[in-house]
Amino acid sequence: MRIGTKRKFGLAHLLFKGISQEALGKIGIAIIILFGVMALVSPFVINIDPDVYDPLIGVDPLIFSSQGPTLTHPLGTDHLGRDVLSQLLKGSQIAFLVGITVGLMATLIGTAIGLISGYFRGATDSLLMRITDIILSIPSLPLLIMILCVFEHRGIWVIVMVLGLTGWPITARVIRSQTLSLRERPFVQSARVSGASDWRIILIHIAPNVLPLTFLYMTIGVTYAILTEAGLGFLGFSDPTISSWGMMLQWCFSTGHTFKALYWMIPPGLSISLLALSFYLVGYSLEREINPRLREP
Amino acid sequence: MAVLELKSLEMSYKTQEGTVRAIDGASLRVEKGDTVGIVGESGCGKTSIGLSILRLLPPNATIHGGQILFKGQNLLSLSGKDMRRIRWKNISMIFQAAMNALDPVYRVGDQLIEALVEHQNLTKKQASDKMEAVFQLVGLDPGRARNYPHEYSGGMKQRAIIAMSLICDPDIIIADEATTALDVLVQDRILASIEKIKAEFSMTMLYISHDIAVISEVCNKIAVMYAGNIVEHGDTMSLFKAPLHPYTQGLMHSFPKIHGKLERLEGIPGEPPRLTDSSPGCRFFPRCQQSLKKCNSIRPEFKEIEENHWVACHATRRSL
Amino acid sequence: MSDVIVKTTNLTKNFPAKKGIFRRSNGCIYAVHDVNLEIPEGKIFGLVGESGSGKTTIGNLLVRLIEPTCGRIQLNGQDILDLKKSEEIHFRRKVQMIFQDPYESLNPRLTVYETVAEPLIIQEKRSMHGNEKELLYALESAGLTPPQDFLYRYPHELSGGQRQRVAIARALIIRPKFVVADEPVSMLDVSIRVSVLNLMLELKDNFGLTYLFITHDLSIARYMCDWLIVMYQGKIVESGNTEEVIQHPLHPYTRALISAVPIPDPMVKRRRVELSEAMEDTSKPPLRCRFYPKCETRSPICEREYPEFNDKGHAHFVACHGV
Repeated sequence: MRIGTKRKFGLAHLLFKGISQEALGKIGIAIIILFGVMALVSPFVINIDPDVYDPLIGVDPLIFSSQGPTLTHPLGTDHLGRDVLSQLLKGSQIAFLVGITVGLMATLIGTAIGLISGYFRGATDSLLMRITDIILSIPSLPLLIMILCVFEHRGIWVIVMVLGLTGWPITARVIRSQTLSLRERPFVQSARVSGASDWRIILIHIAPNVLPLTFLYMTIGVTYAILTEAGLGFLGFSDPTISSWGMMLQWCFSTGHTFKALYWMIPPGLSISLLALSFYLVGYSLEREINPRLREP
Repeated sequence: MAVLELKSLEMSYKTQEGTVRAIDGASLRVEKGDTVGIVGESGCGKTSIGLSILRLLPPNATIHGGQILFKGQNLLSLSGKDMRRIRWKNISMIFQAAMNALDPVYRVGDQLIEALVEHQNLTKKQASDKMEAVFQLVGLDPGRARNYPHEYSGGMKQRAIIAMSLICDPDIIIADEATTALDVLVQDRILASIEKIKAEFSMTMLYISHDIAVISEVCNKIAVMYAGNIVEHGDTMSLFKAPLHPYTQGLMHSFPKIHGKLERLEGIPGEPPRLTDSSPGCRFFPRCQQSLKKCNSIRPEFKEIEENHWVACHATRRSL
Repeated sequence: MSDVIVKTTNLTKNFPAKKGIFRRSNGCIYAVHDVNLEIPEGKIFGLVGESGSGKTTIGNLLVRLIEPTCGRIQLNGQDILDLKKSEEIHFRRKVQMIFQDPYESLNPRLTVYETVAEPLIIQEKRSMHGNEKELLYALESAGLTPPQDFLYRYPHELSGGQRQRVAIARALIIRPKFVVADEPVSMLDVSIRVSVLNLMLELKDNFGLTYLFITHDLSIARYMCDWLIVMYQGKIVESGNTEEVIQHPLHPYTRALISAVPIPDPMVKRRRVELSEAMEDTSKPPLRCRFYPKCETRSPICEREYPEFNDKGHAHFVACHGV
């Protein structure tokens, strides 16, 4: 049997088109790839000589204080003689880990809550939205610090969990309002007339139509996670056993090297800004494709 | 001299799918006192003609050929400032989305008065008197002039829009689907008002609609548009008595009748073409049942076949 | 006379009217009030009226998209309002709907295959694959030829007319008995309206369907319908054989409505019935004739009581004191 035209309206196609059409989207993708490569080469750099290049315990036996770039340490060393470059590479691993996991968690929770809230309305909606309001109305950084203080041992996973479990309200709101309008659309009514169950309508008819929006909010979620983790690290509330970029800044600051050792301060600071910016750029260029109001007439 | 004349106007939109040739060489004359109807389906370019005349096209549109002559003056060569002066004062418009054309935060009467003070240098008192006269003319109670737009019903808003378009005594009014969104009883009352205005002022109008029944009642001349081309143009009587273009003939057989014998309609087979596809031949060729060999390769010329009856069709010419 | 397939008794739907920024409920809109219908099997039953007449609400009530405030609906003699969950799926099998806007009634992220197969998958618990035979037949019946060209297309690749045909194929695939068509051609281009109407007429005979055909366009209603019901502000004002109602309208509203239809013939000068623009407030219960403020032939009794629905012969019913 002859098959008609192939799918070309899939999500991947849409996302690709959205990102690739904008120069800014391409720049965003390029930066993400750059940091991805950095995360991937991190283990190899450490393996050159773990005693020297391990970001936490590797100490150059010849160096006892922070020193500028040399051949063996292209970005210099910190106050204990640890290699800044290998810390930076490890840091990009952590940034991806935190960013992607938190982004995924927050968007999954937010989308699920938004779909349920918007579709079922009534008491379910009121309850879920009041919870959302409560989380939204508390300033997020103090809240996070409070929650983190409860934990005695703040591993990176605790931070990921806390960020993921508190990062969903805005997504939930947006998805809810989208669901509210989608559920009244004729194609949803048509499904209802055919006898489709509530869950079928949510999963087959509504969810795929909010998915592009979900992706958009995920890029924003990733940006949020990277910046917040860095912020917490700088304030000293992140996992001290991991050389995240925020932690690097914190070490640099607390040992009084802030503007004296630019080779130490600039790489993590710049990395935080660039990676956060890159996800933001991807989201920005996606939005033009997803939000029809932004498209040219 | 014609009040308005289009000379082989060409206009296109740039879109993601490619260039859409929305108007593909349209020529049209509107004499003083005429009401010319442009009838066609959605996407045939009839609205684009209205917008081109007013030069209110969106930024992705370009006019790349032809002339629009208003009393002999080419509107396309005017500066933006001069065009603004002509708009409303000389050429006014009634759009379909009447609900959005009134400013919700001003009283309806005040909006008319302001237009008068602005464009015609009348005093407040003179303007107010004129506003009341126009209100009565379009069938609105002048006592409602102090109401806000949201206090008006759909039909009343449409009347207010017509009053707006009349207030500066324009030389020509362009009405685009002026009654389309309205219920049939309201539409009927509006049409009655339009007819009354036409009779009293021998108003010149360009009336754009997809509804051939409304066009036949309001207009004394009709231009039929298909896929960016005007395919037939003539006075209403002869066009209805003997439609020459196969598309016009098909269109006449696409509307069920409310009176007379009930007969099975055939409509027009196929679908309107995408305007991004360009073919050298007649745009109607794929749906035409009277087509000749050359129709697919040569675009028929728009020619006067009888007096004041223009057609663009190879088949018609041969049969005469 | 053929059997009655759908019957409604005192069908009423009020919508709560919410006002102000706090959306306080104050009173309600009487969208449909006390409507009794008997739709004969195998006929096209037309419902005409202007916006706000309640015709779409009736359509939505009959397919149970919304629940009535009170009243009964019967399908083949069975009450459909208190069905159990297990029975509801059988009801859904018999009743389908065609929507007005073909740009909105198809899920933009599903292919034609997925859209048209959905009722089969739900009703017969089938899997997504292996339904080609039924699908090709349904698409071909809906005039999409060759049908295999359309299976894997998305709605945005189709024209308005093609989309409406896909919607029709979807409605037909489970062989319903009763189809509610809510303004099925009003969003389509004029040159393809007729072909969709003709298709619906053909399908009625081939599939043994009964239609409830909702429209604001009296000419189209005349072309399509065997029976006609004219609604005004939630009440039926006139009903009867289509030709009878259109040629000899009795209710002043029907007369005005017919006289207001533009005629595509410059030789004919239509006589206009001038009506006042006064309107009855639909948030009040219909204690007097709804048409009273506009009516030219009104008498004192019209203000006191709502007119009975009376047979004027030839199964032509009208609700008016003046007739």
